[in-house]
Amino acid sequence: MTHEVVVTGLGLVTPAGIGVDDNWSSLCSGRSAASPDPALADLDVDFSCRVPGFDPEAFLDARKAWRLDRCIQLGIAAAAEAVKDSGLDPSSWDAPRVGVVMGGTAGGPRTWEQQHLRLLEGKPVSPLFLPASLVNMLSGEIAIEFGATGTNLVTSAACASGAMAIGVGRMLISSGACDIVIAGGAESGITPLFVSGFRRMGALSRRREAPEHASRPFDAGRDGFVMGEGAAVLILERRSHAQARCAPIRAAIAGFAATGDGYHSTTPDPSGAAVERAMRQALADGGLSPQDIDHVNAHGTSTPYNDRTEAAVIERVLGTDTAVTSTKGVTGHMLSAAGAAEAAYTVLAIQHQLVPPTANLEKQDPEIDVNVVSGQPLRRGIQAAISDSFGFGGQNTIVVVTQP
Amino acid sequence: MDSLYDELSSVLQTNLRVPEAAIRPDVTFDELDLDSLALVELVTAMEERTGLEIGEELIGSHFTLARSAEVLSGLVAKA
Repeated sequence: MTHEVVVTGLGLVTPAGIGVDDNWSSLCSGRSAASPDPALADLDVDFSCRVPGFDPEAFLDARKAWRLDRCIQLGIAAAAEAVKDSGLDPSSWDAPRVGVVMGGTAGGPRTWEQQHLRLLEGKPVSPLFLPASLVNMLSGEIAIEFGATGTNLVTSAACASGAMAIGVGRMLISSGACDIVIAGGAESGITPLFVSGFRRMGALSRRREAPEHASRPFDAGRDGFVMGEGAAVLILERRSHAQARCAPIRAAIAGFAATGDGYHSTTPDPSGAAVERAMRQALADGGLSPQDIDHVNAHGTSTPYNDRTEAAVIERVLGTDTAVTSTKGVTGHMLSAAGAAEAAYTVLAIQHQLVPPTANLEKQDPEIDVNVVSGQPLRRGIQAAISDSFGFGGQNTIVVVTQP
Repeated sequence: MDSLYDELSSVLQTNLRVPEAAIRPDVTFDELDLDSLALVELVTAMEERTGLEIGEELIGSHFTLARSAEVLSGLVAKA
């Protein structure tokens, strides 16, 4: 027996804003959130996309906020908005039937760096630093906060982690293990050490003279991604469960597939074979044909290599009519949160029948032939859409979102 | 004892984010909802502030703040 899975709640705490409405208006404005970052002042990549004005105590009691790394604070804040948006009441839900699956990679690198410094200075480390920052605490703390005692885990697939969480959450519901899954991703790794690692790999944009123009997916002048942070949560629910409580349904998660390149630790397979297989499998999983896909929220990191190989696969599988966007032009790259946020943005695109523009796309890379939306949001009928996410290690995920 | 009680109160507020209104001499750590990890954090912070070697076993979660301050005063007297 497989069950259909729908989205009944969204929570977004990202560089594009706090809350679904702020996120959507920022995306549609097409303005990048990147700005100079004082915490990175000593580096030659000294800008990032941070969540603006995030106050953890607006979402958590002060003592809990103090005990947790910012990554987990962001995750709880996004979950709080999503649960509220869903209309579910955690005090009365059937807790063992509610799972939590969150995508995470680094956990709390800022906490680790601070505590390591204490160790080097001969000071005792905090007894709280491990529970404050281990990556599994992301789903653990959300379960504690909302009283969810079903399956609880963190998916780790680098930049595909958040999308992987949605895929796994969907499986838990379709298999009958859960009625509801709080699914998403969170990351907060804008620290000198973490950023230096990406910088040394050559993955980051070095456009320090104009950070707001640095994240430019599919543009001929792109030179790398911009570090972001954030969290996104989707409330996934068995369709019949949502219908029984007359919940508004935002969209359906109609299909999902995950594949592995088995090729290289950081470079995507230039043939795109595994990404293509994921895309075709996800469509088949959703009972859809390539021509059904009206919109693609691309992984579109703004790195020279990713955008070209991804666009080639989109063109090969879906053709050149589908409306492609990369919201990373606005948000930067939220790593583990990216796939979840972009699945949420895909849900919103379907609800609004509007594709947000790719920020900073001035002159499309001549080797990229897909239809990338730029400038203004594009109004078009969207029945079905996909969200692509790919991680280091060759982890590829495709989430298929359709009208409710 | 007064100065150590004040230090305790300050650490509870600043480091452990306990609301000022909850801090009274007769309240216990349990009543303040401080678990074992929070108590270790408290001891660590007090060691840093006072220069005393307190040790995690010296303060129990059932101690009131007044009694804890007395224990710490005893350490000062021995130092």
